Amino acid sequence: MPREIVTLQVGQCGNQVGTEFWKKLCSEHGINNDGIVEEYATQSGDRKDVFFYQADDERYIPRACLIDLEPRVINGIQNSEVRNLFNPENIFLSDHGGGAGNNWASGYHQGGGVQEDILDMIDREVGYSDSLEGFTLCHSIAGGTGSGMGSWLLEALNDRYPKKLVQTYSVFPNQSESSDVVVQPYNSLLTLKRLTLNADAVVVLDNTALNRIATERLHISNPSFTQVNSLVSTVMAASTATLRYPGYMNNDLVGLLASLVPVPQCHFLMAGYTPLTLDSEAPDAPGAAASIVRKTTVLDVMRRLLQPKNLMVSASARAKEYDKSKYISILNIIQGDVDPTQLHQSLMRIRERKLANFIDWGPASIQVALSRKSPFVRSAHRVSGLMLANHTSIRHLFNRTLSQFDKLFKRNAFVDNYKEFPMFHRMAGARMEANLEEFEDAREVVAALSEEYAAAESSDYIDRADGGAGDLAAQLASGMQLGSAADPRAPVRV
Amino acid sequence: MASVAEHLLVQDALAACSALQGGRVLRWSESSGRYACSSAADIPAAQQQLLGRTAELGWLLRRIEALSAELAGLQPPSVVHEALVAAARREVGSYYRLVAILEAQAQQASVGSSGSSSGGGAARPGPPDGALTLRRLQVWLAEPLGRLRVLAGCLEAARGVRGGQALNALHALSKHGDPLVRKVVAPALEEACVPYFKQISLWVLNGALEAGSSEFLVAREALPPPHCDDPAACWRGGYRLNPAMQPRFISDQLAADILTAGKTIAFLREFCGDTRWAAAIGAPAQALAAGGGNYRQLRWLESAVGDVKRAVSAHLLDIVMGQQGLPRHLAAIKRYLLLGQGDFVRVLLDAAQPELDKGAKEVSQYTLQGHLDAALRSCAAGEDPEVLRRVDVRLPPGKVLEGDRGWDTFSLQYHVDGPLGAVLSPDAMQAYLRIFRLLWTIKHVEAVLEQCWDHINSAQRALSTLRVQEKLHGVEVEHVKAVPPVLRAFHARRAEMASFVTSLQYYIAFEVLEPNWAKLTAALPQAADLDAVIALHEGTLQAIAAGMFLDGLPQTLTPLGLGGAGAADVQSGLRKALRAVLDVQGPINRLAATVEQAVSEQAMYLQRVQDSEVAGEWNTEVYNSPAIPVEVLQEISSGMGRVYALFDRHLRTFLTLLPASRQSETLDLRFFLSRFEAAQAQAQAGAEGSSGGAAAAATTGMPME
Repeated sequence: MPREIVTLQVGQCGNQVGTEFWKKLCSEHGINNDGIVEEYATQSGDRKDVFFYQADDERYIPRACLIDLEPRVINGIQNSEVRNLFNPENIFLSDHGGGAGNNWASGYHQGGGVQEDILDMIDREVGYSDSLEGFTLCHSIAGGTGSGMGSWLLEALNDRYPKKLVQTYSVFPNQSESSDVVVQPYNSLLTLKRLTLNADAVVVLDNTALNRIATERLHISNPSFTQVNSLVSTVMAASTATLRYPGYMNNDLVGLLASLVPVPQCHFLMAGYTPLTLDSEAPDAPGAAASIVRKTTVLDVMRRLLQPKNLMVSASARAKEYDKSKYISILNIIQGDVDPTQLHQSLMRIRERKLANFIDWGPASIQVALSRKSPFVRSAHRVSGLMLANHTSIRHLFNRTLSQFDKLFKRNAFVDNYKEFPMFHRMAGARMEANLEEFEDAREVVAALSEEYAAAESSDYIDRADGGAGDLAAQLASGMQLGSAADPRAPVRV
Repeated sequence: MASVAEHLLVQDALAACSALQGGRVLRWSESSGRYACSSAADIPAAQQQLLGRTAELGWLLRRIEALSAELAGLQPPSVVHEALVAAARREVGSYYRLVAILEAQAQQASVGSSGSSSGGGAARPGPPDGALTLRRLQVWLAEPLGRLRVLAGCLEAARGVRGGQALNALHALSKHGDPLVRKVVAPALEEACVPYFKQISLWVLNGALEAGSSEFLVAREALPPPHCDDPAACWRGGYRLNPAMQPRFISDQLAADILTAGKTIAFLREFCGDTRWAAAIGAPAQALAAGGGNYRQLRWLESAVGDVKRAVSAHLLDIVMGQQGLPRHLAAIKRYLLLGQGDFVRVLLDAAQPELDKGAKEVSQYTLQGHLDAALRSCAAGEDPEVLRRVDVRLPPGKVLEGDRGWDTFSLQYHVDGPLGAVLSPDAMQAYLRIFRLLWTIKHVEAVLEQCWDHINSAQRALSTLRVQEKLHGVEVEHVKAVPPVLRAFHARRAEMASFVTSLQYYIAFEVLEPNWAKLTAALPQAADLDAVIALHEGTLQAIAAGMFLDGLPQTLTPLGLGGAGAADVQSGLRKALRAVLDVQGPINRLAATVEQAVSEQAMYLQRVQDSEVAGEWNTEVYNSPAIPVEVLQEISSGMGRVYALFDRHLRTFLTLLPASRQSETLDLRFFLSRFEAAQAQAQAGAEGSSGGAAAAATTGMPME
């Protein structure tokens, strides 16, 4: 009866990333492509049942639902070497297979349409677990299915499983170059609203940064989807390491997230990983050249994690007002052969050198979770580390989305695509007219989120928010007197 | 009165030498306890003196006989003394031989002289040449006199002392400067040592003590009943060195080796049911048994005993570490008692929570045992059942205080049997129990804080549902806007408490538990004998307990006037702070419940509105429009204020108690404390500021009740 986690992968990106993640988990647990535990891995003392369950025939089945509106990616998975891994009942493809056409509204609307099928599927999957802890959603926020249907799913999960955690791995679009999806800012913004309101934690995986890391750190001139996805799956696998290799602390999702998210709205996490390699099957692949870093002491790993270039979030977002931005929390998951005393000394050193700039309105320090490394995956590095950080500079990412959104929305560009769907129109008599309140609402939520992060940079954040715990009652009273007037200190207004 | 013939005097003297009653002149006087010349005979003073001197031999002989008889008849018999007496008898025997020869010579002389006197009649004044005169006798007997003196001295010295002490006394004599003395004492000592060394080899090779023997340097200690079956008590106290019986020529090191070797064998026989130790000590044992040993060969003895000790210790270690699997059990203890196996802890916490939330009296051992078994089964370690069956729920019988919850009494224990009990002794288990109690409390507090996080988050989400509905239907829920600041404040307070608990856990895990445990596991394979293993294990436990503030902090460090009633010691400060954290769930749960209730009220309200719309009625009836009662919010907030104030006070108390021990060598709290510096500074700044930070808030929160 561990605390199980059901993974939902939605859309093209979500399914690709998710499948890479499952491949990685399988290799770490010594499970082969058919779900059979290899002979050498039967006594490994790891925790497979958080992410897998055992079928009657002893096969390990991922607790995963694969959801897409077009068949291409999922067909690809079903024809790949892991075709036997997933439960075929847990694959949902829309009947028409036409996808969402990069339209959030289409994805969202279609989600509602197939509600019964999908929720049945999730219910069944939940039924396989003894004490479900929560859901993990993999998706991208730019396209149609991952963003739209993912958004719908987030709301549906909140509705159906209000007590369960929802964590997402959300791939943010590449903002540095012009995308082939022109309505990307619309999709992103609408998804961000759900991520803000309906998720407990969001691990932000910025495509811009992923590509940069692939080119700069791994020396791949033109990184492929698979290579980038492999980076993402590395992060996902590492962030679940403490759940799968239990130790003294951080053995459940709520423990991990609670330490990272001290204020409910600020739950967007950056990830960094070092040392980075690609688990390229072919050693002569260009990625192999990147694994030259050999010195991997704990201090080294922790220091490198704090270097911005290892963060999987856009440089543009990080660099802006860098001095002002602060860490709200940091969790380093260190995997490998680590001497605890070494760890303690490394933390001291980092503290002495003030390598991390923390918020000053609350207790904050680098938290560390130690975890074993899979004995079945050979690695040149003794120690590897993942950093999950709650950093206020993430707001620049939101601001950028906002400004891109504003540019489009000012001109009412492309809104016709959205108008077709019920959420974005209302009937005035027989005539259908656009109702773009949803856009405005989403913008409001995201702007408030960005403000919240900005506010967190100042030291009077809590005071600003509530004027101190003691005179709560007094403040409540003053709130009453203001009547229906908007409380300027309320960060989120829906 | 005629003078007595010289040869008669010689015969008298010889008789006295043989400790006979006496002759004509020289007689034993029982009353004065010495030989005396009869006053009737007229003997020249010079001869009297000579006679007297010779008579000393007789006296000595009698003395020796008496002492021998006394020593040989000792109750209880003493082997050392018996051997000594035998040595004395041999010495006396050789003396008697000399006396016999002298007597024969004297006889000859007397026959010769009487013959000549009867034949010649002419009395020659002097004795014939070569005849035994008193003076000559004196010369002959000078050496035996010395020997007998020494011998008597030896016996005298051995009188009243026993065993090793007797050897000690002899050994002291053997260091005499006079070579003659040494010549006598040495064989006696050697002789007397024989049984002692036999006992040594019997002990070292068999772990056996002669029944009732109290003369040996190792003594058996009778243990009171509960301890006599306890391997730890037996190992520690079952046998001990008896320093009084330790001959001085046996060094302390050798004595310790002897003790360890025999004790180990006895332990092997008694608690391990092992029979292979004899084979294990094979070679050195043969050497030792063959050599027998005496006090001159101490070097050899030391090395032989050392060999045996090493061999048998290695054998015992082999059994304890290998056959009995001490490392395996330690690993299991680390997993279950020191909560190293996170998933196990998680499952147990989840499963046992409802039961442990009950009052301590209502808690059912069986239910908890069931939860424990389930948790053990589900845990990923894949332990073999032999280990798992040893983990057990422990609820202290009887000692339930009023108001205690199950959490306060629950603990786990790990059962060991056989020789492992020597290392994992009841005392060690008691230490584990205390460590577990604190770890478990911390885990409980952590779990509660996580649940609170969950509750706040679901409250947050419920709130957004509320607002969506508000917007959608235009039905305002009153006072909703007052909730977010409350939520945020609650979140911040929770985060602060969580940070304390996390810091504490980091400190305990990475600075106390793990390093000490790593040291233990690294040093264990190098341990030479069981004592070393026990010392290592105990040292580790002490270090952990001290690091976790369980002990090792002198009470005098406690500043006055904190916490009141003298309870302000570090440990209770810590416990109070942790207990204060637990109370946070009250306000948080109530807040979440309030928000959720508002959501359902809103839904009901909307439903009614819809119903009346469908029915086509004008909504004349005034429904209660949904609201979040502001009094409730106020009450919850001030409740939180109280909880936080209490927590803050206890945390401060705890922290102010710590710096006193900051300099302590064993505890390095710098890093632990540094985690709180920011919080402290902030709290201070807040307290100074007029707006009121944490501290001010805490205090001003009180009057609002």
